[in-house]
Amino acid sequence: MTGTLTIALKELSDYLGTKRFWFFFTIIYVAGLMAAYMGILALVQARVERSFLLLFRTSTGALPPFLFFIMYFGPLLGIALGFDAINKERAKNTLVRLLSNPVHRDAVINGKFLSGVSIITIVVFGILGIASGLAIRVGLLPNLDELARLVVFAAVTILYIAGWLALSQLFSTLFAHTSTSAIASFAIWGSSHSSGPQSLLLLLLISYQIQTPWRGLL
Amino acid sequence: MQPAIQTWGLTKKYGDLVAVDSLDLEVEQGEIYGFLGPNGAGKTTTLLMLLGLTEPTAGRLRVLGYDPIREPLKLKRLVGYLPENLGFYDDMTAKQNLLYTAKLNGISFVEAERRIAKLLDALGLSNAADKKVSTFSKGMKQRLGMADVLLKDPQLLLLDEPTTGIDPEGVRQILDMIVECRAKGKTVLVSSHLLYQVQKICDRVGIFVKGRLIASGTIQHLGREVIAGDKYVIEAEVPDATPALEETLRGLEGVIKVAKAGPTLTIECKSDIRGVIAKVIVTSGYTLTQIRSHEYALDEIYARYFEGEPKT
Repeated sequence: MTGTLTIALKELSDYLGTKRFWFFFTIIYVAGLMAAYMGILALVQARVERSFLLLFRTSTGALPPFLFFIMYFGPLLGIALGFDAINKERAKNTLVRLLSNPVHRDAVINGKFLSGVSIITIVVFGILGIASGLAIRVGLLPNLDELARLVVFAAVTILYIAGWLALSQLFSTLFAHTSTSAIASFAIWGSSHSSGPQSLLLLLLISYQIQTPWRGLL
Repeated sequence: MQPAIQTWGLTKKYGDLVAVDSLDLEVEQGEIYGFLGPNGAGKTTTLLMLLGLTEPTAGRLRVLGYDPIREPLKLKRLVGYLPENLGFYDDMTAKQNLLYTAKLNGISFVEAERRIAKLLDALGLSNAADKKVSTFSKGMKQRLGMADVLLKDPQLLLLDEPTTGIDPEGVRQILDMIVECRAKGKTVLVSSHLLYQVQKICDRVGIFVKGRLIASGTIQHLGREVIAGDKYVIEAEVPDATPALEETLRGLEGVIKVAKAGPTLTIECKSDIRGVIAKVIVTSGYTLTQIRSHEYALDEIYARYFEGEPKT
């Protein structure tokens, strides 16, 4: 277990130091913020229901809503964090050296997964926090019930993205080249969106009223 | 005292390819054992099995009293492995790389700092401690690899081609380090195809070809018993030697063969008759500048196994 934690901490500091991570971080934050802004705009314009949670699945129509962004770009974050986790170590000849120390093989895999999940958690809570902040600023206050739902939503989103992380990390273990595992992950990501996957239904189920204009997209 | 490494019929197959073929290896504690063979002989596979990173297809092995398959973690605490293709995290400094290794081995930060400073100093890397490994030369990386292996203060060192591709000064430092390890009672298994370097430091060597250990012992033993078939080889330097002298020497009792290369006469005999030969050369009016019994060099032994007759 100590090995797992050591590896997780090292990977975490690695992630935070790479340009790739900050690139995705920026894209997701900008996209998410725009979506949240659109949601708020739509809610402010609409005179009917002004519920806090609605901002995550409403949009003016100019851009898809917040939830769609999470569904669409979340997997990209997971894939970006995991597709070269193991095979990069192998290509750089650091894997054998790492394994010649007293750690189990699964400690390496688990440690890397754990650090990826930490990053995902930071990103998801960060973006939900900022979007909520925006909403509160314009006077959309969540009640306790909504707050609880938001936390559940965050947890499921983390699980969803972590699933993609696990998938890409599996490919990075199976394939020797980082490009192969990246392409395999993206192929699954791409095809999952055109064929109506269960992963999306999972998110739809928790967004308790399916009445939005982008419903037709799915 | 039980041997540091013992294997019985150790075999590893990759599909149809037999990488290691029923290897019986024994390495005593506190010795430097040279594991010699051409590329692709199965040396690296053997080392990986000794460390428990690869499972044998058949056979048994025991390393420092542990079974590498069942107790890999206990074993890895005591064994330092230097892989042939050595990789470090390029965007971390030398010291950060070593600190990571120390952490994985459960060495406290304070103790790790102390050991790292000492090792980097001994290997001449103190100035590069805070430089990123991506700026390191091959020789520096190899030395850093030695520091990485020695950091956990192992009882057994498995070094895979530790001196390949680095400059003479780097080679000297690494060989010195290996000899120093023996002085501290550690066991060292060095795999290499560079005979000359290994020859200087090894107590015993094993010659490993196509997955089989075809000879094992001290270099002198391998030379005399295995190659020359119990013959003595005497080398005499006679700058003004003529074919007539060669004839005279051939006529002596106990001489099997005389060959001339430059000023050196190589005389194969049944026993050590250096005195007789020296006397004959001098009394025949020739100049004898040197006479010695031949020291077997590993490359001769090696050449014998790979190319037939040694070229001397």
